[in-house]
Amino acid sequence: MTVEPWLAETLGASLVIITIVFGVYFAIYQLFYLTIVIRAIGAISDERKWASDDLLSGTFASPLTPGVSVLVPAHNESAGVVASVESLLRLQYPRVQIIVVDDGSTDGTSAVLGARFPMTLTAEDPVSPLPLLGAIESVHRFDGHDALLIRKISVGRRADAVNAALQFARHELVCMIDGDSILSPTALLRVVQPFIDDPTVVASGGIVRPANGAVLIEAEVDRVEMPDSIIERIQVLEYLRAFLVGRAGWSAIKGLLIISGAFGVFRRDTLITLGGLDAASLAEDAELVLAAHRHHRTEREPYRIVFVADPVCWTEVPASWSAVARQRKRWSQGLGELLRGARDMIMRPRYGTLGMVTLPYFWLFEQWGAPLVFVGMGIALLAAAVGVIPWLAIGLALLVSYFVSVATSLLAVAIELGATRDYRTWRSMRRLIGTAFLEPIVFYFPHALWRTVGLWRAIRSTPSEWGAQQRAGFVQRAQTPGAAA
Amino acid sequence: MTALLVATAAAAALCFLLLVVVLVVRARIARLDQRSRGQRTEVSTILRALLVDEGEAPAPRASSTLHAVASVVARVHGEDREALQGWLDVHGASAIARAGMRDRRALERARSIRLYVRTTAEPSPILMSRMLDDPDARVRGVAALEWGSTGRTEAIAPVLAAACRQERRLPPLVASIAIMRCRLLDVDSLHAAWSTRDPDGLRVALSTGSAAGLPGVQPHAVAALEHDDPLVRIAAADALRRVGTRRSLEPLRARLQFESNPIARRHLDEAIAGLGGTP
Repeated sequence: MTVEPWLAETLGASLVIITIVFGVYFAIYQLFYLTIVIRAIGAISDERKWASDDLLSGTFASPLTPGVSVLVPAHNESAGVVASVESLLRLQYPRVQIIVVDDGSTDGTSAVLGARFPMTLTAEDPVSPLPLLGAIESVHRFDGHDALLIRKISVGRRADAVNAALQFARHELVCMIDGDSILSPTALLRVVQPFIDDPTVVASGGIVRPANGAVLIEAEVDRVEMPDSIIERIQVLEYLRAFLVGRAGWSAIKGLLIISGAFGVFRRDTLITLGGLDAASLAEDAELVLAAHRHHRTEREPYRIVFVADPVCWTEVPASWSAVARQRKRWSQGLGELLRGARDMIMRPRYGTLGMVTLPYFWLFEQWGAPLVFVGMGIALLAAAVGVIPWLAIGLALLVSYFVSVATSLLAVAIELGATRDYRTWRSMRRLIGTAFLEPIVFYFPHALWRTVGLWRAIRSTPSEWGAQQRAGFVQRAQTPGAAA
Repeated sequence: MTALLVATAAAAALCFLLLVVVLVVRARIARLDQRSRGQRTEVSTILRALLVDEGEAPAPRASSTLHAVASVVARVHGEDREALQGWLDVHGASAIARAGMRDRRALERARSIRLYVRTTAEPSPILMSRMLDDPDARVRGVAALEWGSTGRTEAIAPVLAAACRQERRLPPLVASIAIMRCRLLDVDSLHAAWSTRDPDGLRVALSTGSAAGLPGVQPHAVAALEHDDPLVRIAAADALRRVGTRRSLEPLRARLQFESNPIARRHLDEAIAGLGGTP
């Protein structure tokens, strides 16, 4: 079969134009990311300089410091929930109420807690009743601690468990963490400081780090090393990019969309006004931040949602490829559903940076980036196959993409080294650098595929639930007499 | 094709450059750690000479040593504090701090406020009031907290006034913490709030006055129950719960009948229950 010369020419020209459009798309994405990184470096450096232990001790000692209710939703978290609660009981904060929700666990989460902390059945009524999907079975009060354990029927939604805990929160501020998370002792004090410095702050988030590879002594993270398996190392690198760089940058340009459900503090009254978390959402943490933006913008109230690049919450990340795949599909589906609900805010000046920058960025790059990778690759390969673009050019473009990807990771590693002490050993550093070079080769395409599947599920409104994760628990070491001295 | 080759080379060079940056940052941090260990040794020697041996302490090698010694001043009292302040003064800390408080960098002004307050036995109210009016909110906060940390009663009125004014306000919680650090002995020190009836100022005065256990707060809290701002009404109810008497029960019950804000209602309920009454 022969192709008409004009058709071949038109086809060739179209393929070249499309390839250039994709090139421009990825260039804009990288430029955008670079801007965020530069703002993040400024914000982190500024925060480090201003950090003052004297300020924190003043906050700690003041009887007027707002109390915090810590909400801990736990579903099959028997491996890590005791360490998590112990770390909460050791927090350096004047007034903390702990509310653990056992969301229909089948692994004996409540029993493990009950064995470690004696507790008594109580008939306490909720402080601020909220509609729940799963009924509360019983409420138990820890003996000798300001802490509650709520047992409820699971509906497979973390948000519903958080709402159950939120009902019983009586302090001005509410902190959400995961049932397998460990807070560093001063984390709460640091993440609450913005509320003290500025009364318009309605939400504040801190850094979340993978606890895989961390060693605990007395429910406190003592030593951190890069984990052994490649999938866990990749996630460490991802968390560095997302939390240390990404969120600090978005916060600096006043366009923060996500405060992680694994570690975020909110004003309780704001949450109650919003009716709690959206139990139907898979991205309930981002949904909550979005709702707060919407509420305060609509009411024309001054408000700030900030990220503090210092307090650390350690959480266990999936250790197998299949668990990561499930998690990423769920996240991508959640993002798709979130952005669909926020259509009326995109490119609307009344929503400020969020409407004009953050949401368009997430829509264009975070949501559609993954499927466009495959479309772009397909078109480029087709163009090369028909001889319109040389194979060498495709190879070089891939190389550029690879090096830029490695460069962004190395930048995050450099910022991490300057900002915290966690991964400063040569061993950890070597592993971080090695992972930066390996990640684009082994993780980029599977990740793009999982994200595409998640987006497809969001488009088709496929029902989905919170996935179960196999927990290994934390590596605990008893404090040795020598170490104590 | 040439453009792609250039882009590939540039991207590879960027990668290599960042790899070098990572190694340089790591080496620099190791050097900084070593330097800070050296400074800790220097500060320890000075502290030992001044506080233990009570003899002559060596001169500081850098101004950062002055800041490090000044940070210890806030943690000691009596003769020890005087010894440290005397050493800081001899080595020009006060003059350095006064100059630094006029620096164009906000961070330097904040550091200088700390150095000044810890070096001086009696910080100048004029100078401190000027820093409470600083264009940078963080500097204002540091000024309030540092002045408060001296425990001087004269700091209360300016700090409260800074929380009540329209421009360059102090956040209410920062003002509260600063005032709580002072010796709050009488309710008249909180005059700025009672006279302006500014919502933030009233919240600060009600919370600090009641936390200090001043019974004179009671009439002001009863009056504040009728304030338009629900946050002030909440602070008033909390204040009455802390320092109110049974005479406060009637106004609390009266307010409860009309109160539409659910959170304020809960605080009113708690105050009434705390005073031994029933709604």
